[in-house]
Amino acid sequence: MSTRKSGRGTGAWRAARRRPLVEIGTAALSLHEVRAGYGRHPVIAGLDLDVEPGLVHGIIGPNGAGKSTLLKACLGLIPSRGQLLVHGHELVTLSAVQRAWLMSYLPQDLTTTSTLTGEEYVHMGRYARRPRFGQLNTADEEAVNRALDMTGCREWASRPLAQASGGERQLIALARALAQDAAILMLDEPASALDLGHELSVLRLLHPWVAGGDRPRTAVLVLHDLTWAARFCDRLHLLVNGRLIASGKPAEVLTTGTLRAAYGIATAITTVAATGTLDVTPL
Amino acid sequence: MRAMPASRQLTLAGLAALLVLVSLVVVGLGPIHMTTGEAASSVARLLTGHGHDSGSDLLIAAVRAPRVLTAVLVGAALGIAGAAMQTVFHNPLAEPGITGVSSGAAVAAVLLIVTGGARIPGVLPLGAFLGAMAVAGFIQVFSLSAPGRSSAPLLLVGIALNALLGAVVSAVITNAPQAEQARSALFWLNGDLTGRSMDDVRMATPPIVIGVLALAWHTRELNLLSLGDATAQTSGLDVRACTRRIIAAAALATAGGVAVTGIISFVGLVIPHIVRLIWGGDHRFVMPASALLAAIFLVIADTIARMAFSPVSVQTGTVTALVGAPFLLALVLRDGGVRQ
Repeated sequence: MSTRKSGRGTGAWRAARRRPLVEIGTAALSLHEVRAGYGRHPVIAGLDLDVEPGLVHGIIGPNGAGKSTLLKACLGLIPSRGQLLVHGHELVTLSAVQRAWLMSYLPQDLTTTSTLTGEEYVHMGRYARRPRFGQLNTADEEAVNRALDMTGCREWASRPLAQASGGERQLIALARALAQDAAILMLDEPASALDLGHELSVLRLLHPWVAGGDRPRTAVLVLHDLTWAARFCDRLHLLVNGRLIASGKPAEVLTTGTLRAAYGIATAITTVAATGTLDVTPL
Repeated sequence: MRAMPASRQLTLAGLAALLVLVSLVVVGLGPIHMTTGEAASSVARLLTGHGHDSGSDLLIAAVRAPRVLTAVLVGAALGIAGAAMQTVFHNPLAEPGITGVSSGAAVAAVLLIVTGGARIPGVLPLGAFLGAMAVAGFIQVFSLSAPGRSSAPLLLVGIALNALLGAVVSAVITNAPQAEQARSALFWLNGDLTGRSMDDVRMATPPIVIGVLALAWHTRELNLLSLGDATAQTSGLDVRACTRRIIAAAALATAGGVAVTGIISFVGLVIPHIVRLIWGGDHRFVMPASALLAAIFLVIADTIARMAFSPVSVQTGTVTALVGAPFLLALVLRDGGVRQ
């Protein structure tokens, strides 16, 4: 699979930055024997995982299982060992701009000292696609407007981010990640600061987003609510102590046995008549 | 991000015009008073090479213009470097010398003053500059080997270096063989523009201009860094390399300034905050506006220092601290109130 690097300082660079810098491979993410963590303590130890493109994937598991660490390792935010392919490309061979074409990220920690407005914040999602002195083109404007509309942020996007509530900040950060228009959207607890209505809105936009691109799109999100996970994810990956103990469709992963092994609790798993999806109730 | 609004561009032009106006007014102030028009005529004659041998032209060429030019250069360097450091370190209390650059200059300067080397013309600013650059080089080497992408380890190294070098400065001053040397060292540490010549301007200009331009080049990246390192990295910015470049540019500009004036505190801390409070956080505006406003502030502060307490001459650094310290206090109290 070829990797096209940008030639800095050349006339072609400005135009090249508007085109995809990397080819899209078959598997969105492919991990083999991946180890990652902080300092000398690996949080993820020898993880194998294939993330099929065109689907919404949920990473679930108890606290400290390594869910956020897995996302950070895939994004290259923390060092990792083993083989980590992003759409067929070795992560370590990709430049920061190329990674941004392939993956966008909504971090869990949204502490920021920025005094930019919400709209300015979302515009920053187009950084990897714009030459230094290039103005926003139609595609940039459309991506930003689409992201603001999808997240319902347009009304207050002109306000400084510092004046936004935690939930508004989470929505605007999601809008920035969407505006980046990467092949894989990585969301670390995307609804942790949201009320029930906004939580539902955010999770509902994932499938339309995945289906909406002109190239394969994939969403990978970390979440704790197993009923939401069953309803909005096509595939679930259950992590415990840095290891994958179950992976597949929600009905295959969410069983009383796997949940007892992962969380140490008994659960009742039923089907919700209104949605036809699973409901997980701790007993 | 869209192009900077015309109103912001006009504001920058207004600040630049204000800087020129304030500089001309200040050049005319002193025991030999000139109107702004007379000062402007004199400056125009000097710039076009038609200066007279009259008292006013000579006074401006030899004394007042170099002092104002130094204030403009150093103020701009401190303002823009402070704005960059606050963003890179995600710390509102960061200032241009936070990586230890000013302390490096201080150690070299104090050693030269105490050993008598500073008596040789040009040695003191050159030594201070080299001291600052030695620390900047250490920071660059450390950043290459530091783990992770975060700028936090560099901040801690800066704090450690400032403490270490501060202790060296104190030890050298305390053990100075002559009281006059100790007094001179303390005078340098407090920052002053008295007696600056065109030689000082010529020495400070290259590092400051290069550093300021390099920082101005990174406004887009600073906007991205203000969103947090993880967001910046995943948006396509090589955070580690970019942070290193910005710190190097800020160190160069700061070193150029500190070398000719000593340590002038609070300018690089306070001015970027004022700019952000009034006009918001877009670095395409914050960076040039901080440079211009800091230059205006330092020109005015230096004028107050040399005139307001006449016949007693107060150091420029004292005036900037007298204004800046209450502002910093208010800032800390306000942030504390928010947290509560």
